[in-house]
Amino acid sequence: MLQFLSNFLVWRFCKIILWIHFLFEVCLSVQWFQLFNSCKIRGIIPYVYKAFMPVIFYLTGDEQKLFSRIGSSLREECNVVPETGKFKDTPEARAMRFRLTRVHDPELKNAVSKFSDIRTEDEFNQALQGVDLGKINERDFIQLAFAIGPDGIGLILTEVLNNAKNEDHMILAASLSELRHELLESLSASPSSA
Amino acid sequence: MTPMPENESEGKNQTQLTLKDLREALSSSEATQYDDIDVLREMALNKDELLRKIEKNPELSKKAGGEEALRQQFEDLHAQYSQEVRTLSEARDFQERVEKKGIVRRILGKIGSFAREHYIVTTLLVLAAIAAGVGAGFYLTGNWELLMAGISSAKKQVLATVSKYLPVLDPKTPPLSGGGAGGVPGGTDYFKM
Repeated sequence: MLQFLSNFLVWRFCKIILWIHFLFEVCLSVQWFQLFNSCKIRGIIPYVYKAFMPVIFYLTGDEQKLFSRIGSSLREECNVVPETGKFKDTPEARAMRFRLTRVHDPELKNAVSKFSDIRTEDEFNQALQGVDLGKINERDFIQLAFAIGPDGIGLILTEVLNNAKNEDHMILAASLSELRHELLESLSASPSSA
Repeated sequence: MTPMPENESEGKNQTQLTLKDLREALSSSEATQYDDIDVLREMALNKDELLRKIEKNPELSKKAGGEEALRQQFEDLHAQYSQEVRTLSEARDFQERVEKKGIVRRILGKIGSFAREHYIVTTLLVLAAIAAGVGAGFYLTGNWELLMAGISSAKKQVLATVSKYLPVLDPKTPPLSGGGAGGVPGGTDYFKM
């Protein structure tokens, strides 16, 4: 009987300890959540992201040379992968892509319509300044990128690599290289390009 | 590239199914207005579904000379536009790939400030939009030639560089009447170089 009572008390004691532990864990989790939610700790997310997700550049040989000229501090955490896409674009294929392109964004249409009356460089510059590329509809941008093709995207990428001065430019260059990589994959997957 | 004459029915067997027939059949059976590219896109992405839709149209069946003939003619049409169908499939594949990875969102978030300082980027994308048929008045009024005559050699060089990546930005190209925004398959020689 005494044995039973003693076991029972020990069991109750353990249960209480377990409950206390559980409550402690819950409080800790709430604390962690609050800490995580505070601005200070949120600020480390980009660094954690960068640590686990390095920026990848898919670059051709010439582009790799341009990349090597960028300041070493900007090149940290960047991985260069040689672009191996073998798709060879032709004027006919490009014309076909443009022919099948549809752009719907009213803002883009409006911006482009301003080009219909220009005759001088000043008017051309003014019309160009009125275009905010950042506001282009995502799908329209994809359509245009597809129509321009890998060489055209490469032209923009070269311009960015030539003038990369900050982290934003590096992210832009990496994203453009990834965009071209995906385009090369899509075009190379087609039996027509084989 | 398969040529797309303005009126496909002209000079062909009248019973041969055309994109125009499909466009009209689809537009009449659905609230949406289809253009030739919409029809080709359906052909590329959901060929069987498109065939099922047009088989429901008694006028088309009658015109083709029966359901079996309609199916055969549909296959012929599909083969005739195989290049376009393939390009549209590639476009869809590309779109799905980049949307899944959010690549364009990242680009659009950063490209605005860069493009303001480096006009070659905006020039390329704007002229690409023009070449894609948005605001094609640029060509139709012959302004390209006027612009090329009126700008500095530095900018002319940029435009010449950009032109390499676009199909219709040829300063020697005379303005074409009737092409442009309506220059969809079935349009004129707007896209010929």
